[in-house]
Formats: sequence, C-alpha cells, structure tokens
Amino acid sequence: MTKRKHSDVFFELEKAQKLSGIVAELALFVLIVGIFLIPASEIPRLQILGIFGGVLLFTVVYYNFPRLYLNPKFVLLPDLVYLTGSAFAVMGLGKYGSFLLIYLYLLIMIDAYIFNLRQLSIITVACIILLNVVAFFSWRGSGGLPFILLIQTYSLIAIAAVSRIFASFSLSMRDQKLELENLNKKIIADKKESLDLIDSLGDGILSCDKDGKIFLHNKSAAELLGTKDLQGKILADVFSLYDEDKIAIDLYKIFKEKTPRLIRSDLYFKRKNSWYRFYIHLNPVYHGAEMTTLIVLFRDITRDKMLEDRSTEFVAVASHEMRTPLAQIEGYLFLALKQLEGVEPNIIENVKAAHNSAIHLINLTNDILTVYNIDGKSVSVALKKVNLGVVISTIIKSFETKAREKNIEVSFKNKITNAEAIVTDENKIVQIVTNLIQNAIKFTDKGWVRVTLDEDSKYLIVDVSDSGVGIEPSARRHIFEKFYRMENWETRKTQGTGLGLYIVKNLTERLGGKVECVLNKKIGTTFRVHFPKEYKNEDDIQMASEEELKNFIGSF
Amino acid sequence: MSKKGKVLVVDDDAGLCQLYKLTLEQEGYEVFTANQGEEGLSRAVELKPELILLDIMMPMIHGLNVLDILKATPETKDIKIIVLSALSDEDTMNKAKEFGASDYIVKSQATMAEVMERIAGILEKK
Repeated sequence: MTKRKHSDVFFELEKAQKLSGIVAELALFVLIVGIFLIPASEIPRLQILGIFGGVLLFTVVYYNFPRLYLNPKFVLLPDLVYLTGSAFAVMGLGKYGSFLLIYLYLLIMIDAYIFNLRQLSIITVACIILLNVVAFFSWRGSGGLPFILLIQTYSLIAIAAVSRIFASFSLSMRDQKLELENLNKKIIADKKESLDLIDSLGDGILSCDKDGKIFLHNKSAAELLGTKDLQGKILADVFSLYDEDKIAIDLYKIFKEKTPRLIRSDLYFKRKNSWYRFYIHLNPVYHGAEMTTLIVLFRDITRDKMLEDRSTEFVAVASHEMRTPLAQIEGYLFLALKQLEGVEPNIIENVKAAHNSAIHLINLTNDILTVYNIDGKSVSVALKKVNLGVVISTIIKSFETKAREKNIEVSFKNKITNAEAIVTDENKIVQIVTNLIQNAIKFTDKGWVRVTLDEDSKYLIVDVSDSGVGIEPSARRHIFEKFYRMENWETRKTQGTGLGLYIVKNLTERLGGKVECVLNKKIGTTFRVHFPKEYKNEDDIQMASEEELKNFIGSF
Repeated sequence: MSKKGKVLVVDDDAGLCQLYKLTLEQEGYEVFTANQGEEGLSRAVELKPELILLDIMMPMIHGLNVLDILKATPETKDIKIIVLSALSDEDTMNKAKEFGASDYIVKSQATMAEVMERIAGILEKK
C-alpha cells in the first residue's frame, strides 16, 4: 500500500468513516433487493426486511452526524448494530445466510483497507471463505440450520469488532505521530525564527557553560569580537576585557568565584591593538550554589562614549575655565558693595543684583562640574572617621547669615546620645547636607528649617525639614532627576540648576546610603538621608560601575 | 584704623591678589602680597603674619611645597594657613590638610563673603 500523505488527520478519519458508511448503505440496499429474490415461503421475509430496514435507518442517521461517527466513543456502534442485525438475519435466512455473510466480509475488508490493516483483511477473508465453503457443503446434507453458520456469524462479530478497535487505535496513533511531527516542525520553525531574530540584533549575545565554553552565540557576537566562529571556544580566550586602567578582567572567573547575581558595566575590549568600549550585561544562571550558564550581552558603545566624552568634557573644561574670572567678578562686586556704604540705595540694589547673579553663575558651574564628576568616573571615595553631628553643626553655622537675611530659624537636634564617628567620606557628606539645607532655605520664605540626626541599627538618619512651599505629589517622582525643576522655567521665582538633588542622590548612593522625600501632611518638605554606619561597596552588585567592578576584582 | 591682624596673600594671579588685598583691607586686615612661592616664604619669615592665603598652582615652587616648608620652619610653623586653589580634587585637598593647612577653599566654589567668614573664623580660634 502506498503511503498516503496526511495533512489533516481529522479529515482523513472523516473520509474513511464516510466511505465505509456509503459501502454499508450500498451493500444493505443490494441485500434488501436480494431478499425479494428468495421465495417468500422459505424465509420470514417481513422479519428480515424489518431487521435490514432498521440497520439501514441507523446507517443513514449515524453517518449524517459527524458528532456521532467522529466520536471515538461511538466507533464500535455501527459494528454492533450491523453484526447483531446480521446474526438475527442469518438465523432467519437459513441456507441463504451465506449470502449475508458476504456482506459482512465486504464490510470488514473495506474497514481493513481504509484503516490500513492489510494483514487482517487477508487472513480474515481467507478464513471466512474456507469456513463458508465448509458450511455450505455440510448444510446440504442435513435439514436444520447448520451450527457452523452460527459460529461463523459470532466470530465475524468478534473479528469486526477487533478490526474496528485496531483501526481506531492505529488512527489515534497516527494522530499522535502527526501531531508530534507538526509540533516538532513548529518548534524548529519557531527556534529558527528566534535565532534569526537574535542573529539580526546589533548587540552581541553569547552563553557559555559551567566551564566557560561558549555553546550559543549570535552573528553580532562573532562580528564584535572579530572572529568567525565562537562555538566551543573558551570565553576568556576570545573576550579580552579590561577595566579603565587597562587591567585584564576575566568575567567568568568573577562569577565562578564570587557568585554575584548580575553585573552591568562599561568595559574596554581589545581587538587587534585597538580599544573598544563595550557595555556588558552579565546574567548568570544558577542551579543551587553552582553557576551552570553565563549569559553575556554586549554592545559596542565606542562611538557613543566618544561623543559623550567629548561633549561632557567640553562642558567641564568650559565650566572650569569660567571659574577664575567668575570668582573675580564675584569678589569685586562683593568689595564694591562694601565700599558703597552710604551711596544711593538704588545703586546698591543694582550692584547687589549683579553680585547675586555672579553667585548664581558660580553655583551653576560648580553643579555642572560635580555632575560631570558623578556621571564620569572621577568620583573617588576618601574614607575617614567622621562625626556627623559635628559636621552638621558646622554646616548649619555657615548658613547663619543667609538664614538671618530671610528671617528663617535654622535649628539642629542631635537625638543620638553617645555619637560615634562613622567611617565615610566627609566631603561628600558635607556636599549632601549642604545641598539639602540650601534647598530648604531657598524654598522657604519665612519660618524654619529643622535638621535632626537619628540612628537605627544600620544607619545614621539625617532629616532636613522646612516650613516652605512643599513639593506637589506629582513632582515628587521627578525631583531627583537631572535638570528637573519644580517651577515653570519662565515663571520661576528661585534660581537653580535643577542639579542639586540629582547630586545629593548620586553622592548618597555612592556612600551606600539612600535619600528620600518624606510625605509631609501639613507643611513644607522633609528630606531623609540614610548614611550607612559601615561603608560597604561590594555587597550584591546590582549596578556595578567600573570603579566598583575594579574594587570587586581587586578583592581577590 | 584698628587692624584685625596681618594677612599674607600668596598668589601668582596679580588680579586675584589685588582683589583679596582690597577686600581684606576693607574688612580691616593689614594685607601683604607675594606673587610666587619663594617670595611668599621670605615674606612670611619677615612679616610673621597671623594668616597666609596660599595658592597651589604657582610657577617655581608648588604651593604644597611652600606649605610644607612653612610648617616645617620653626619661625613660621604657627602661622595659620588657608589654601586657596582652583583645584578641587580630593587628593590635593587631603594632602593640604595633612601638611597642616587650617582650611582649604576652592576658588570660586566659595563666595567672597564665605572666604571672609572662614578667615575670620580661623583667626578667632587663636
């Protein structure tokens, strides 16, 4: 038998069932006609016609309802009906029963052919023909209904039932096989699609196994690393990464020995004596404590970095160069104000305005330079013992003049009874607290600014509260963003760069602390800063800067 | 005029030198200037001021060296010294403190009013 192609198993089953139905109907019709050829005196014609009519009616109904003939539960129903009907008919037909048996063979053969059970059909037909011939001759001798005919009928019922079961079984097997094949094809197609997608990415992706051997990578990965094929190579051999001091880094070793969760970092990559900047995203997969896979995602940011460096460097150099002349302008205006005592008040006012603008410009350049340092890499942390209470007192003292001018009462409450010095970076603490107090005074017209120092088990907590204008809930989310200003730029009352809180946030985080804006129900604003009592740098690395990564690498 | 004290300004920028001189005089100090490190050293020994405003980046002798020498010399080791520099890197700042500077002011990061306040503060402590 030729192999038929099955695009749709369901359709195939339906076709087979329909075909066997049609054959059954046709055969029955022939049989009914055949009944009339036998003399009415020899057989109970009406009874047999009734049986055939009933079976025909069943066939017509059954094969016109797919819900019936396609339901596996009812697959044996026609056999049961046909064969039971046939058994009764055979008994009624007496010596003519053999003819009816032909109909049953036909049915089995058709089934066997349609459902692809050739052996069954050949053996069955051979056996039945033999039995039938024996039956016909043995009947000729005796007068009654031969016993062998009855046996035949019941064995036929059994064979037909078994053939049906085989058929439905083989069909469902074929179903499953085809489904599996389709699924497999779909998986292969899907996989190809995703691989195509990954291949078309501009970013390099590769994953290596627990020995650092690369087992999967995309086209860009090979291109970026300047090799044709990465398959099976060792990560460290093809991926020569360096930190900013051009010290080689073995990413794989770091993960193997230190088991961090994730590292994102800008690193240097060396290829044929030229340096590239790569943004690296490392994601290890752990099974228990052991790393099984390391997924590396990387992007060539050489060009972006160059442009970025150029523009920020320009701003930084320009700001730096502006410092000296600005200081002189400010200084001379300060001097002029001192010398102008007794002169017409509006002249003094004008000089004061010029002096204020000069101070604003100075603050601006300072902020820009600090941001440049934060965004760049040059913020180093200089650790020493710092007594926060003393530092805050000193800072508050420096604001006395300004506070008096605005008629604001600035107070400091140290809630820690026996304060111990913590090891941290004093200059950064000063910058953070100064910025917060400066802001508090700036956005308060009259009233108070209160600073409190408290502690919990891990942190020293500094609160800077004011009775000022407060921060709208909608603005709260944005206040730590770079260049964010609460006021409309055109209608603003206060001067500022929108960099102060950005600097505060970044410096605080550099010290391992956090800053937040606490919700004030009644009045003003409270900023709360947590400074860790123990300065830590290399706990779970979520966002590792080059510097952090370097420290991290240096630690083993 | 009642003098608050003698102040020596050591800075190679003549404009800035002049500015500090004028402002400090306005505040009531007796002010002397030196335009480079060596001159600063000799003037310090000669004048024995209460306070020296010292620049870092100067030709000939580096400001930090001047500071080191002043603090190592018996005649000048008690003079309060405020380093006044355009440099804002932490290395230089820490070094200056280490060498014995009483304060470190980054030029232009502090306003003139603040500079005056800090000078007054340090002289008060005496």
